[in-house]
Amino acid sequence: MSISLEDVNKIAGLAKIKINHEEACHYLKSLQDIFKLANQMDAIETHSVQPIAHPFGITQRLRQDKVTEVVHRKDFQQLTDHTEAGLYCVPIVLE
Amino acid sequence: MHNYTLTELSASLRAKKISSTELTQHFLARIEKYDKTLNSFITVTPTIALEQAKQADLHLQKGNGSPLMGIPFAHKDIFCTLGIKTSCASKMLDNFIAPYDATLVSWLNQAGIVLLGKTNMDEFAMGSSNENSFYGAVKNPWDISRVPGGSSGGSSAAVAARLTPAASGTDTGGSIRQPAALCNLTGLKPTYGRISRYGLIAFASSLDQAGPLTQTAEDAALLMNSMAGFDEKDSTSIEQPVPNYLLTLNDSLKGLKIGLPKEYFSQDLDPKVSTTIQAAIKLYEQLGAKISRVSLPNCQLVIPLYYIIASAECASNLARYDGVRYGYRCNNPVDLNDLYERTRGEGFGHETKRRLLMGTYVLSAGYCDAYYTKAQKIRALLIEEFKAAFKEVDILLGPTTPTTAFKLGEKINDPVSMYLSDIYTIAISLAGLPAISIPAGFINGLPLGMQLIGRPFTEAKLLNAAHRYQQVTDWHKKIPENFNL
Repeated sequence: MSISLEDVNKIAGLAKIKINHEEACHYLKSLQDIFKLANQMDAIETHSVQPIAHPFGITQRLRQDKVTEVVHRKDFQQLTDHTEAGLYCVPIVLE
Repeated sequence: MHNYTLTELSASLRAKKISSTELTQHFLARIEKYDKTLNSFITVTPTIALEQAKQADLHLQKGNGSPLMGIPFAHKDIFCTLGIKTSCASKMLDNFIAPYDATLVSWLNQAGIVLLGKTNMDEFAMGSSNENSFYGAVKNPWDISRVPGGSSGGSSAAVAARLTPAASGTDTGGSIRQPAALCNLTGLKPTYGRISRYGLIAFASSLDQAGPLTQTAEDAALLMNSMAGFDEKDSTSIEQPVPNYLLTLNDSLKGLKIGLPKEYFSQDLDPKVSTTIQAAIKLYEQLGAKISRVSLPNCQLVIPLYYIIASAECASNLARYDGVRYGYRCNNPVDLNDLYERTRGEGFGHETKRRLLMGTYVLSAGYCDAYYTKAQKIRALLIEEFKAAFKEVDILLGPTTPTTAFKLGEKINDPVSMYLSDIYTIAISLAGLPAISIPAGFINGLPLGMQLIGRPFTEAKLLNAAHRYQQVTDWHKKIPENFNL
């Protein structure tokens, strides 16, 4: 499998990263080099192998469904200038 | 004063030969004098440091406090520190003041450390040279035309130049061990789950692990006593008893079975690196260890495995940087999509964007099975190979890096070549194992590191093996001349 310029532009869209044509060409070259290495994995037979989810096979620890933390809304909202009435502001989505 | 190890400084503080305030002033003065050259700190915190030192002196005068009470320290700028800028070396977080302390930070604060500042790093811990920082590259104190390694390059350079007695780092694919090797330090990557990741800004959640960067294994053991432990705030923290790492440091190595992975000693290995590591192996034999060969065939594939898995995880983790709640936000977005795309396009650096693109690609429809799932299957095979090797031996030994420190700019435009500098460290991260890099010698005036790898949760054994080696060698005592004034 080989990656194309069209792929790079498509995944930049999916990743929500604005890149120009020059950057896309730059990333294309380096990603092609990296995927050349990645394609070496094809030589390994893995049909009967289960992909791992944790290096020691440990499953996600669960906790009781009860409140343990207080939300410091006011403190957290000081991290941006774009708040109003306790809400975060973004460009208008619906008129 | 700066030539003393953390352990020696701890003893001096307790014996009241020196105060924490004097010590802190000394290291702050060294940062002021030398860091213009090295660029190892992003933020220096003199006011906080002197206040913490004052408090530590009160405890020390009363004769109480932990062995770390009053010890100056630096944190990699990936750990959230309450009320202090926490940038992850990214333009994206240049204005971010952490609203809470990472667990590691909190536990070391409770132990009484004094925070000198936050160290430089590769942006979001993605890099092996510390050239991917929004705040500029860090220089290696052994040769300022060379890289200190990465991503914990600032912590490594700062400890190597004795701007701080020790520092924290994080290791996702080698980011503690590789810079430790290139800067002549002891760097421990503990078992995955050994140290809390709460408040450690996430890069690749199945790999990230915090650890100490120190002058000696003894210093690392002292720090591990306060860093390791179960934390319910981290869902990947593992509940395992924490030993006192100092108690077993001097255990005999007689009969210790050391395995040499043949893939780490192939004909591609630089002969000078090979000679240096072979000399270390001979010393271990003299200390009573038994040496044998083992094989880890899938180690040949670790570079693609790692870059697929880590990139996939970072594509998911870094989705949170959208310009809405904190961090960088582009000017005058025309709509929501424009806000996201320009914020992320302008806020992330080149290497971060490359990995986000790669991670998004390998997780996208049609490619996920071929890349991500396949990589996780080969990772499972690799873990089985380590398990098989550890049925035969107690620890594995090999070089930490294929070369000594390379020149600044030498690999920055060739990501594959850069990624290959982590070839000996990545497999261990993928398997979640503990490993320590310790100084093993010098080649043309530049330090070289040796790596010891253990079974899960055998940090005490690795520290013991490293400490005994450091009792009969003095590589770790060497300090770069230009920073030893």
